[in-house]
Amino acid sequence: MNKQVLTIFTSLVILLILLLLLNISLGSVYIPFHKTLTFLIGKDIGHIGWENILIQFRIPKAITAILVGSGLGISGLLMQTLFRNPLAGPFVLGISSGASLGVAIAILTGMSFGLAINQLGIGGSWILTVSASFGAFLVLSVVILVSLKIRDSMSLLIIGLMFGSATGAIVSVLQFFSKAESIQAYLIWTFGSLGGLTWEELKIFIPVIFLTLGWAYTFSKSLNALLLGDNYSRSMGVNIKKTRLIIIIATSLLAGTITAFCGPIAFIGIAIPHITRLLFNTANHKVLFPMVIFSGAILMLFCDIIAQMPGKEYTLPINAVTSVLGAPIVIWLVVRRKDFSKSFSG
Amino acid sequence: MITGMSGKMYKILLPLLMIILFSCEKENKGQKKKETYSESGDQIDIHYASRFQLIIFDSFKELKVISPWPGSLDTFTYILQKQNFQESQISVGQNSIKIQLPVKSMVCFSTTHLPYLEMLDEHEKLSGFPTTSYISSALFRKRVQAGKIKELGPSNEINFEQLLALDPDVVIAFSMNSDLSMIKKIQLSGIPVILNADYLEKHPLGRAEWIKFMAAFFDKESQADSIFSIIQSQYISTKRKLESVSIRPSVYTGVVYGDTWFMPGGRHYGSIFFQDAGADYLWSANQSDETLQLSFESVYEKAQDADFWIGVATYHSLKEIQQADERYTHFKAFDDGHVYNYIAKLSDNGGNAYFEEGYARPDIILNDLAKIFHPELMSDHQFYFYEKLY
Repeated sequence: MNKQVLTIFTSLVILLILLLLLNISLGSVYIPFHKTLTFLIGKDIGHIGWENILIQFRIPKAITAILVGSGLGISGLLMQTLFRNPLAGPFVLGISSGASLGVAIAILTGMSFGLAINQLGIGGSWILTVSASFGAFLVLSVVILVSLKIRDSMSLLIIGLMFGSATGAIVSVLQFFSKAESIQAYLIWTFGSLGGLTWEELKIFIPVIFLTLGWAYTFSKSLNALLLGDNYSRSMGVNIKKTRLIIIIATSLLAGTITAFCGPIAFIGIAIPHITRLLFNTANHKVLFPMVIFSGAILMLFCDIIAQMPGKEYTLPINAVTSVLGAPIVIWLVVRRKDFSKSFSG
Repeated sequence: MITGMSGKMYKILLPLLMIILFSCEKENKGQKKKETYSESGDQIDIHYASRFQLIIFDSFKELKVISPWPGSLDTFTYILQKQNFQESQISVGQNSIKIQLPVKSMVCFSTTHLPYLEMLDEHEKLSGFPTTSYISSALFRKRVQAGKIKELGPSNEINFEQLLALDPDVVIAFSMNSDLSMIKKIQLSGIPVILNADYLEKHPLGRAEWIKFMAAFFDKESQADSIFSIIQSQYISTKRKLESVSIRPSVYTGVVYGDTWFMPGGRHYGSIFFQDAGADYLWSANQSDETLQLSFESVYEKAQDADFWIGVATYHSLKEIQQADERYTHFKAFDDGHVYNYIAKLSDNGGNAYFEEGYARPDIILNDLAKIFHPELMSDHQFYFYEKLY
């Protein structure tokens, strides 16, 4: 088993490095592969335009893709484990709904909230990030308060769904009274974006995602116990309330930060944990956790390569690619493995 | 199991499909039926606009609007009846819509329709407008404040009862797609709705020529013709002046939204403006008349050394642009401060004259652009829609 896991890990790492190189070297603008490699090992390639494209556009985008893929994959895994439900994803707690509401208020109410932030000296690109984080945080606080009161995870799931519906309704009402250009700006935000992050934003994005992923990994054992049911977990000495709170906070930090910076990225969060479980046939979080991180990063890099349509000037919205590509993979895996539900028990 | 399922689906879907096919056919028949007229008419000269035709007969006018939304293959026929009109004189398709002239009150759905009313001195005929806060014209704003133009709510979901209470002689609407449900609903209540497609014209002068469309409702065709002739000759004279310039500065436009930079194609009216203003639009070789969806890096590759960056959405200053995305500062035009935007005429409520008056006055837009690219040739002209960002 250990040897097999090691082989899988090695192949995932090799695949990740390959896709990372491909992702950086492919794009609308043609840059020869060997020039990209030369640049990456720190040598001069004698073309300032290409160097700028690599430093300012492609490398930040590749880093964002890796963090978004792993972060959403882990959020999805945490939620599916917490609710012991294959339909759960990073956004079931209403995090993306909260973020959307924050962004909708900022964009659709004529940026009056955004303007206030602007006057505090925070730049334009931060307006959406700050409002999304604020919205996500608000919903999260309510969910945490509720989770302290009620014991049943299913109730939390329903509350998350209700949040989604309620915020969706508020966003529609806001849209109803908004200008066409504001609605367009909001809709474009909902398409998701990996290329919008500059180094300035990555300075915050990288540490938040890294630290949260590391912190969540330390609870793998408790996660394994949760899958076997609350009573069993208690008998194993797992503090269910505490674990649940930690899962919620970690998911909110990951999904909330990602949504704030990149918009709601569809499907990856639900698909990645399934793909990983089905491909590697394990429910052990100690193994699953790093595998989800790698698979998420790999799939996101791959989706981004397609969205960039190498060689063409045009781009596709990343959300369209993740859903179109992710759905058939999950369907194929589920059909192939008829005992799908078993992958949710230890 | 699977065949059983699809068999059942087939049974459910087949009647549904038949109904859809049948109803489509019925609609097509109605539209294909040829109009026959017992008198002969004069076709109004239209030089640039491609989406409408107007023929004037003794007792009526036939107004045709051709493919009024992107991808549409439909032609809509409207019969504007003069006072001496008699029903027996024509036989028209059942989808044709009849309007009694002269029009005494009108509701428009787009700010682009308004300048024509103002130029024809028929602004008092406008009785209602959806989201009046979009209007930038001072003349119309005064009338809104005086309560003479009623607010009809957002244009995608207008206040139907308010519209019925106004009971205008005609509604001038537009559609972005084939969903005409709201328009049909208004028509069912007895108010004729006419589609306007000015926003789809591919030549700047084509948009301005829609003044002739609007004039038909007020019997002001000759006035519209002379107004358009002046605009046309001013546009052409600026264009001629710039044809022989030896240096054509390179230019690009737009900003990135999400991951996509929206850039007019080479046959787009935006591209025609730049070329007529004596500039070298970097995407002019492109054959599309639509807006291209480009990646940031491909725009950067092509436009990093361009001389001018014209039209930057809602940004008001270079600092705002830099704060939105640091990467904009790597463009030479940004470094040189050669960044201009069409925000010189913003009303207090956020309406932008560029998207209203600009449609009807391509000659002014061209003069503004020409002054940006070749100030030495345009010293008499003062900026109207455009201003430099600092």
